Amino acid sequence: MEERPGQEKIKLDQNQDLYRVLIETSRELICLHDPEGIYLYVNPIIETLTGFKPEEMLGRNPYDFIHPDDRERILIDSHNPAKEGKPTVAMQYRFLKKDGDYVWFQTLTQPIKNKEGKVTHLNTTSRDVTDQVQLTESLQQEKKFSSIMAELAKVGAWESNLETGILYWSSEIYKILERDPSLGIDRDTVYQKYSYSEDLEKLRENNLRVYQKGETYSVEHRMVTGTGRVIWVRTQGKPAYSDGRIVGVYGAMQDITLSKLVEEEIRLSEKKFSEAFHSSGNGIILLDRNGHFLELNQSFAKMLGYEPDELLFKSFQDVTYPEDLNVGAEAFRKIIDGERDSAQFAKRYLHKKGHIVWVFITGVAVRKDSGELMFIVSQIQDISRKRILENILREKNARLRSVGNHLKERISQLEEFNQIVSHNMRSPIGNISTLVKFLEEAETEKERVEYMEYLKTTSDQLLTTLNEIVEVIKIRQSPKVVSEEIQFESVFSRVKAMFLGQILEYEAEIIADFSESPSIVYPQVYLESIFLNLLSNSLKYRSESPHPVIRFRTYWSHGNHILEVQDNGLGIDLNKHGDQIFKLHKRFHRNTDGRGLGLFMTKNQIESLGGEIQVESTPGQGTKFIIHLSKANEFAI
Amino acid sequence: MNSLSKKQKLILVDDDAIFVEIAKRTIEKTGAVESLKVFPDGEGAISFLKEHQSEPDIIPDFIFLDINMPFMDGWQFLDEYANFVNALSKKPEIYMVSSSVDDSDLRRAKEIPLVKDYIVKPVSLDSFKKILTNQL
Repeated sequence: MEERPGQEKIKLDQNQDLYRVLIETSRELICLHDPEGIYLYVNPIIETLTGFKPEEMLGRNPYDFIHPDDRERILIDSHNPAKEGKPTVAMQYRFLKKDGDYVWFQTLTQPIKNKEGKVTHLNTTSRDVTDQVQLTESLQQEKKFSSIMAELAKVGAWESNLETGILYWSSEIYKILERDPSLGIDRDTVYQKYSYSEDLEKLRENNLRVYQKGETYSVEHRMVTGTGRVIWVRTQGKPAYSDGRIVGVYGAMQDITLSKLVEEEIRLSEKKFSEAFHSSGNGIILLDRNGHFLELNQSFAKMLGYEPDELLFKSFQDVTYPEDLNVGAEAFRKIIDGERDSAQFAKRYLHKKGHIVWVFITGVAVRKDSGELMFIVSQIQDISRKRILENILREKNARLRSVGNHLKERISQLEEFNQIVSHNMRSPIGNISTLVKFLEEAETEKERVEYMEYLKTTSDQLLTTLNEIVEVIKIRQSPKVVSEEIQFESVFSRVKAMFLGQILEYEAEIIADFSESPSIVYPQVYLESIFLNLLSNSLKYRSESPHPVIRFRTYWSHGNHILEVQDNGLGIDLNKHGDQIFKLHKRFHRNTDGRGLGLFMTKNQIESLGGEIQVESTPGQGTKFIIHLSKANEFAI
Repeated sequence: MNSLSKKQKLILVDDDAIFVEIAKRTIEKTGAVESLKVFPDGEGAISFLKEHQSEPDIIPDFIFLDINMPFMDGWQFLDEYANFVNALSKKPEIYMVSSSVDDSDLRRAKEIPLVKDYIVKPVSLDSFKKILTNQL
């Protein structure tokens, strides 16, 4: 200690050296200041605490060292009162160290007065409380955190002392259970007011286990809040020990109403899905992005004749009918690529036994919030039966149409026969009946002979007509004449040979081109008859000039096998005779020996085999017959 | 038979030679006929009528017309006839004479105003008489 002005005023007794030793070895910082706070003495510990040597402090103002944020507080709460001689309280503040850091000091400032009571000096004692302050700060932080957490997680703490019967609730429990914290709490109130009676027993048992066996517990149960709401909480309990004895239970209570609700909703929706999934009559499958089955229901397995487990190791490609592997593949790819979310299509699967199962598939993508595909849910509907029924229906319809057409044709045939009977048969019969009467009334032999002649002619005529009709009926009634594969060329050349004389005589040019379709399965007799009639017709109704050219050709058109015969002959006025050209005993040209039978027979032959004959003609230009030898079968859709 | 009635001129259009023979004889028996012309199809009859359209003495009083004939049948005859009927100096009564009992033929004939009636073959003497003496 050095001699300083004013220092001599302090009266030291003989133990002055002892005090010096005490002060200079003190772990606390002890300083002497003038009333304005200027350091007059600083003990050596200052160097340990701040890095400054005591002599560096002398004459300096403490405010130079006090953290700017703390200065005003120190002045008001400590320095000013001390200067006025009032007692002060210990202050905590930051004090600058030589290395620039701050150290937390707790300082008590005391005024030193002279005999007159005037404050002549200030004495301070300081301690480094940095650790404490930091501890307090972190404690406060912890407290803040736990309070926030408690609030956010709706968790509160509780403690129940067995021996004293005292129950403690943290503020969060008061909040959870909606009770005014100022009312406090006791065990009876908890049981009577806040416990849900049905869950009370469970809680008691758990608490008892803690007391008796020292076990901890965690239990979910219901509570009733101050406003009467029923809430779900999770209560955890742990034994509290004192001297090795269990003296109570403490733990936490968390409001889990919300998560319970969510949990319940999830459980319900999972149950719904599961029920829909497993009890659906339709097949339902979950597919991964590679088309492997993640899950499938009984209906789907049954549809394909498998046990569900057998299919889990397969992919949908494995059960797809090979020809249909590409059906829906594009849609599947688009779902995986995220271009679309659903697809519908029909395709064939293969049953375990090998037969085809027609299905209608509705696939929907299930994605994460990020858009990533989790799986594809597909509903599979077995439409095999529907398909079969549809096909049957389609076939029946086609049959009906065919029968309808057939009936129409039959009706027109009947009308045709009616006409034949009316015109071609009734007429000679009428003649006969009249002639018979004439014969009876004949007066001379000459008359009688004459009538007999007429009778003979008429009856011959009738017989011929009858034979012709019988012939046509035969054709009509046995359409199943034996068909065989015939080369057009071979039949045609035979027919042509029959007319060789005429062809040469008329210098007719016969052109036959069967190269587009050289053969047909057809009754040979009919084909021969068709060629014969058409060639004979063309030759018969040739024009005088130029010389006759008759073309025959065969080809296919829209599934119909067609024979075309074209000549440059007289032609027929179709406006006049169009509806009669194929009728019995119709003739359109004078000076020819036609009996009007050929085309009638030809038409009947063609139609009896399901074919059709059409004619195009211009008088003076020629005639073209277009014959559909076979018509496209309407069953072959 | 009304012997006082005037003699009629007739045209028979029919291709059935036997029927024509029978008809000729039956018509003769009615005694009401002055002349009878026969054409085996419509075309001949049309040409004849056209040729004599302005000669009422030659135009017949009656035309018996068959339906079913080659080249130009009864219906075609009527179509053609309708084209110049107004030019005729005299209007013959036309009877369809056919063996057809087909309803469609009967109906069709009834729809043509030019046709007086439809007679089904065979035609009896009485029928011819009634027609020719306008006693129908």
